[in-house]
Amino acid sequence: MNQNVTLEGNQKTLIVIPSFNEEDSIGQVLEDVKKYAPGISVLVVNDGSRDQTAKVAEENGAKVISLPYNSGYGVALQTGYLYARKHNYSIVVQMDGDGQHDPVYIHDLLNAVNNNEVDVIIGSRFLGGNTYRTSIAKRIGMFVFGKLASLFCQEIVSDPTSGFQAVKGKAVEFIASDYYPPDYPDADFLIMLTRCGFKIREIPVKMHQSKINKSMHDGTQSVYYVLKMFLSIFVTLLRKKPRI
Amino acid sequence: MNEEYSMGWLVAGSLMLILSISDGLLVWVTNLVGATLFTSTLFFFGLIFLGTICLHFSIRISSLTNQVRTLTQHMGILHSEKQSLEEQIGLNSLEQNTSKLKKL
Repeated sequence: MNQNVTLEGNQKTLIVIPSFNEEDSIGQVLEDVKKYAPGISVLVVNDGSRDQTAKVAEENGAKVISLPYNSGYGVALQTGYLYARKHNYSIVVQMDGDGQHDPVYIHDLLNAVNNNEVDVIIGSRFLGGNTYRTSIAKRIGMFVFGKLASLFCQEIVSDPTSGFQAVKGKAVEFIASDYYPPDYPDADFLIMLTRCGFKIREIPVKMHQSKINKSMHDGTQSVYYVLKMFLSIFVTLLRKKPRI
Repeated sequence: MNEEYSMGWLVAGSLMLILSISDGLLVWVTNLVGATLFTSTLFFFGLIFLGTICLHFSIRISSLTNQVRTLTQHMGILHSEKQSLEEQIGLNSLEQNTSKLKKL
């Protein structure tokens, strides 16, 4: 099995799955990834899980990097990009390990990132007539930050919190840099990417309800998230463009 | 405590002490800043010092958090690569031992 090819060409591709306490879902996700994206290297970043996430991932043939303690989604994800940069992967597909992102769409993401003049392809759960049930508060948040991201990115962003993305070339290196927001890389980071000249685009994907009923945007975290995101967008717009 | 921090506390503490025991100086500084009460002058400078040190610590903590984050990420990657190498070495030595046994 060739470990370093995309479905479309000969660029090195890596699928990065940040994971925290997802032993119940990660096995199935990895099986589906093998089924729908054969031949692509898979890296699971175990974000200090207290369960058997790392063991299950290894048993399912994934390369596993274990962080010594829980550092948060952004840190785990960026670790995958650091690994990709170190090992010269030119395309990274990031997805969640809770079963929310359907590996069937990896092919679509790779096609889009390969064929279009774009650097980042975002899988949107709200395009193409797809429906996704979530709380009203979250929908309002997604709508507001989506509109802000669309305004400043000059591109329709319907799903600013989607972690199902394909990233290529210089954008991989940029995400591995110190400019990456370590906690919630959402609308603020999309705006930063656009300001740096990277092209982003959305494609429709279907997302499932998470098998783990715990979101990083739940409870008091959601209040922090909203305040942080507004502040981060404001600061991103004030800051000088990062050098890439 | 590192000298970096103890210097600030020593300087600020000494200044507050000097202001507290020197009536003339305190009156002069109070008139200079336009305060009505002497105690207000002391509280004013105390608050400025505490605000400055809090800001300084926020910047330092942010910087240290970023450094810890980077260390954590690199440690995770290096640990994983170390494990891979150990597995490779283990496999190689196993193969060598097997071939030696076959020769025997």
